[in-house]
Amino acid sequence: MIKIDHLTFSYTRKHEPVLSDISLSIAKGGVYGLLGKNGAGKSTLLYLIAGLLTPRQGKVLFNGTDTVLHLPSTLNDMFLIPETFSLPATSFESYIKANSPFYPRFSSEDMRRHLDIFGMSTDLNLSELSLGQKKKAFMCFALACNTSLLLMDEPTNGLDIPGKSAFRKFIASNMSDERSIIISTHQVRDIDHILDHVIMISDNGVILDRTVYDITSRLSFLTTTDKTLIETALYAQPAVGGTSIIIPNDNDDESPLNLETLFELALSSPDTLSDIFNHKDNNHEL
Amino acid sequence: MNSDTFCLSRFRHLAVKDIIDNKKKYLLSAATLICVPAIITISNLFLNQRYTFYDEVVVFTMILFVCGSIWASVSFSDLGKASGCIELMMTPASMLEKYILRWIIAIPLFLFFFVISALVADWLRVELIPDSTPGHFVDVFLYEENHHLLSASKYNFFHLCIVSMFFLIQSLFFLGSILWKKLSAVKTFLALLILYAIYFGSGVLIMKIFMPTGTYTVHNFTDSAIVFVIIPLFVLFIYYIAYVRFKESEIINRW
Amino acid sequence: MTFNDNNKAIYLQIADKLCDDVMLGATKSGDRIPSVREYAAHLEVNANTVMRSYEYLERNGIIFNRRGIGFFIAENARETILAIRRESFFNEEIHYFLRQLMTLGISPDELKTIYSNYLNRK
Repeated sequence: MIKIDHLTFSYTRKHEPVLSDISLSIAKGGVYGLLGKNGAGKSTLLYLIAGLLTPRQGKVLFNGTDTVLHLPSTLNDMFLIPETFSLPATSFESYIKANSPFYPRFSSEDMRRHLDIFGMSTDLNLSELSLGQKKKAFMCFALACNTSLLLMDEPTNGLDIPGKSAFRKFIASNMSDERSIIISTHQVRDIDHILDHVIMISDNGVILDRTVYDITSRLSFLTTTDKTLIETALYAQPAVGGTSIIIPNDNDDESPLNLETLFELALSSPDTLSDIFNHKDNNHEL
Repeated sequence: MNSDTFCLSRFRHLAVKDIIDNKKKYLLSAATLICVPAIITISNLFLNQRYTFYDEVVVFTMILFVCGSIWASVSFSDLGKASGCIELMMTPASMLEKYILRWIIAIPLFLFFFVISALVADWLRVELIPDSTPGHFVDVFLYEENHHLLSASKYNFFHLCIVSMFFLIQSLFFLGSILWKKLSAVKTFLALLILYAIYFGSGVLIMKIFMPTGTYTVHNFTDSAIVFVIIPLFVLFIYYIAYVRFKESEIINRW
Repeated sequence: MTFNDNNKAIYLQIADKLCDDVMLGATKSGDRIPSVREYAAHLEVNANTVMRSYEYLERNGIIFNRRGIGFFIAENARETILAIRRESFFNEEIHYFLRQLMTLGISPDELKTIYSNYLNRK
């Protein structure tokens, strides 16, 4: 669905590129986590995918069309929920009336269903809502447009704990084979188990681009008190009930993915990580 | 909604959305444009008992230039903020449609409200100021001998020069709005000042080099070819440049 | 439901939970269980993970799918689950226990007595 081809981007000619020679592809039907430290370029990558920025080199193709052209036929099939956005000071109904005609697959029934998950109704004035409520309302609208691509930049920022839970339910019940969702965040704990793909960027490049299944079949994420395991682990950090470690997965048992430790491992020893994946890739080829 | 370049129904939705989003701003602007000249006219009732039609023309010409320029210079101001820029650019309509809508609001719509404003203030002048000469604006322009709107008099030509100049200035402020998203009016004004100074200064310099002892007069833009052909073409060219620049909009400002 | 309580794959933890419900009698043979999407939303996990769980349960004959209607608990789900858990116990969990018995020098007869007394009390 999305093909990113040798993309390089920098904000000005003088500065170091924020993203350098990145190539990725996003398939239909996935829930992608785009992870990275603050300033690593996650938002930049989302904006590039949406066509809001022009690459210095390379291109971003959405179903074969360059997103930088801003074609309506591209735009009506994608929706971006930025980290900060402003809603007009009108009623929610007016907002829906003004914006839904642009999206051919918008469904008011879906709209109501989404609002139910968050416990809201359309009978609201947008200017009277708190930031968290605005976010929820906007997300409901975004999903009701039924676009093939949904881009979310730090969607759980500003949501309270029930809100984060509702967000996860939201994503889980709305993912489908026809739609791809890319969630950019640094709050990895908020999206732990709803991802099926993980992309990590750091130092202007992609340091990881794998499905969750790939990751959990090659790495085991355990909490243990076993000292020998901890000492030989690829990564270890203290946790409730022992130490959270990452060790290579030598048997067929999978463990739940721990995004937090994976992220730390990727940042601290990216070479170890790529070795593990390349090594196992080669093994499978043999 | 087939064409990716222009689709009338989509354009209509864009217009509806713009009105809903900016209802208060437009109402306030229209009200200001209509009320402020009326207030100026009324205040003249106390200051100048013999406020004539010709005084009014001067006042309104100034309002035209100032308000028209400022209004054109905020056409793209919402692109200055990231959230506004994202909203505008992600709306599924073509860049051409988005541009045309803003153009319509900046130029024809402004003129429409300006004319209403002028008519209202003019009507007030005639009603409130006793024996103000020479009567209603409409009467003057359509019926009076020397100042008949359609006559090719020198007076009319002068007015058309002013109008032509106005469209030029307005188009430059419109372009400025897309080049500079913040403090656009001020920056455009300064830019025009600097450009004119360079033009004037370089003209003087060249004349000094090639004709050091001769005298020269400043060309007064009153050649009809300039007024009716060159300036309108140049204005269209400015709009085209503005469109090209708009098409390349990004969420950041590179300039 | 939190998933990091143990180191087992999430889809297996989900399957375990469903099996627990069947063993406790909360869900009975013939009952309809939530759709993949519904259950994923309830658990706040990726729908593919739930799909994997359901496929695992279906493969082992604990649930079956009626096209267009949904997933249901199979007739003899209890027996099946019991059999699977017994096998798992004998293959894995019991080894640690047996090693302990050996280390502590507990004879099979001692074990038999203790276990019989335990069952009698219940």
